[in-house]
Amino acid sequence: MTDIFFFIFFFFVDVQPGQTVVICLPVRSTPLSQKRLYASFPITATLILRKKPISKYSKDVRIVPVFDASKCYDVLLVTCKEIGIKEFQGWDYLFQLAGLAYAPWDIHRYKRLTAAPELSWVGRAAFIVLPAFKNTITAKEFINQDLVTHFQKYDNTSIIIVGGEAKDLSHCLYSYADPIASTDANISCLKGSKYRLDHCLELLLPKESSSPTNFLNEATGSKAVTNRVTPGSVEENNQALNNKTRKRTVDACMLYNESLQASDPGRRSHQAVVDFNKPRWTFVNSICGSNVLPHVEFHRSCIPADADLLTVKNVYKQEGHITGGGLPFTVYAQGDDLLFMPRPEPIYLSNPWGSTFFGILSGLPAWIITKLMVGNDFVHSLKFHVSVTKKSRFGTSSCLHTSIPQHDIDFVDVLYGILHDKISR
Amino acid sequence: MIHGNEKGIDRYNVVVHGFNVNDGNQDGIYEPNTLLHVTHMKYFNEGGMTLPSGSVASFVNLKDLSTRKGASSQQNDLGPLKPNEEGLVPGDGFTFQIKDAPISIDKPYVSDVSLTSMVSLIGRNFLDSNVTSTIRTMYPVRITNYRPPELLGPNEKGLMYVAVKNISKAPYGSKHGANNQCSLKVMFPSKFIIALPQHTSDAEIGEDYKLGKYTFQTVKSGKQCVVEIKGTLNKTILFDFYFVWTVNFD
Repeated sequence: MTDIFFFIFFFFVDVQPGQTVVICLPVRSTPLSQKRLYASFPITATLILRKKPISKYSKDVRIVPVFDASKCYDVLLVTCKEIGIKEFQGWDYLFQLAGLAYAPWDIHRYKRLTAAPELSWVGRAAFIVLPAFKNTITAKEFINQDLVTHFQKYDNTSIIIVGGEAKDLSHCLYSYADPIASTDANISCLKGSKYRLDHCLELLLPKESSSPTNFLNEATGSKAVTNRVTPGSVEENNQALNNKTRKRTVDACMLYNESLQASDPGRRSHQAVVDFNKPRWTFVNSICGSNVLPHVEFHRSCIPADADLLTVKNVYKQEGHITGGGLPFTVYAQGDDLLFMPRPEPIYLSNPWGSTFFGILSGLPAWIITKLMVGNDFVHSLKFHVSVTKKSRFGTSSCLHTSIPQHDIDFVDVLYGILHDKISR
Repeated sequence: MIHGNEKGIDRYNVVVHGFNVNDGNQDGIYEPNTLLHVTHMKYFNEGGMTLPSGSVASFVNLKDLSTRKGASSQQNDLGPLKPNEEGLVPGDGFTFQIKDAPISIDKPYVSDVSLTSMVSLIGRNFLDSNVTSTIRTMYPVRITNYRPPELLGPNEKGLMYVAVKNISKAPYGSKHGANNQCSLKVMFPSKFIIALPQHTSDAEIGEDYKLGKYTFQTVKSGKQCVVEIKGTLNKTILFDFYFVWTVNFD
């Protein structure tokens, strides 16, 4: 690609001692830059003193598309400065193959992922794709209210995090506005009794083997051989007792979570918030009896249990980059246009691009998958490669693992697999 | 000790009390590839006897300095100097050339040069005459802020700011003569980013442009087509795919 550079000279007329002259220059990207989205172009300034260049400064300008909130899209692709032109071409090709109309939302342009009322992605895109990068943007940036609106107001939507951690999404599930009333958080007598038996018996029924002294010794890992207590050991013992009590509080919370989810008509997940510095309710006391801290409150997930929150793992551990392992196409220039030339070899579903493609197809609702299956587009002529996979037939015993050799499948097989999985779930 | 008619408890010893260093163009900044003058070198005899004539003053341990071509690097025969008397090295002083510097990238050029005075007699150095001076070298003008837009959408406008500061004691700019000329060249990949021919609002123009502290002109190296526009920026010309114009306010 040949490029023409042009220069602009600023001639200083009068710069007095100690004075700073500020040059203000309006610049504009050309319409042609639309064809180089996410490319970076340098703007270079050279300071010249008596016709001699003395210092040179250069900074790149990224060409980042503007989000048009007046339109609706299939996919919202959240981008950041980690995504360059090559990476973006990978995404562009991916969405083209899947037949999805998309719009990028650059985190550096809009500064955040939360939606402003006048400029919001919420309600404008069905599938949100976020390539996550720890130091720039992760799923933690999502605002709970945006996700709630996204999932509650619009059916068949999904959020797909590429190269991020599933736990980063956990905060999106809860608004923490209205804790569940204590009367709702009941567990069955049977479960409560079992828990007491398993965890709290030695506290409730002191005996030789479960005496407080032995309990402390058990916690600190020391043997009950001495009755002498030094000030240091008292502190250690108190700390150990405290730690053990906290652990039991957490265990009790898990029991409540399971119980709450089981009794929830939508099978929504629940979360216990344990704050040991701020006394809350006495859930734990109700099953554990005395000696346990009352610092827990429970929250019900705001989004439906069947909402698609997907995480695509990057096997190369390159976070949200999808170029690792190669891209299934080459790019060649035709005039000012850059055109995709698909590679003849099958697309590896195990590499980052392939697994992302698979992940995004998985996020589509079943009816779109079905529609794609009966189509006859270019993508139907492509082959996909599945690596060797191990499948456990019964339980997790390694002797019962069977290996499925690597093989190639076509696009319909990929879709069928996804559809089968959706229906079986 | 006795030397001729003189008697003393100590012989002569030369101490250099100081010297003046000046930059070539008197703007208070020592620039690369310019001259550095050393004058008013004062020496003092702190010994007990008269310093005989024949002492030599010079500068050694030159770091990033060289003796000017054709100039003498030493001053011969300082003449006699009585005990507890101060003398001034005769002559016009010493002139050195500061080493040239390559173009600095993304920061102003700053470096150090140093020189050490020396007085000797019959090839023997007076140790107390060794006074080292370290001088910071830089340029009188520098870019203090360089801020093009971080990102642009296709066909989107942005503002670029460059701040240039004069850190010297002399004014710079074409108004102050050819020796004080300075300019800034900004380069764009014109296929994708261009400088706009005119400001679209008063707020964009900037105070310094209004005050006439700088003018600007666009050219494409090799193929120039310059259009003079007096007073306002309202004409552009396209010539052989290069967008070129000149603005003159002077």
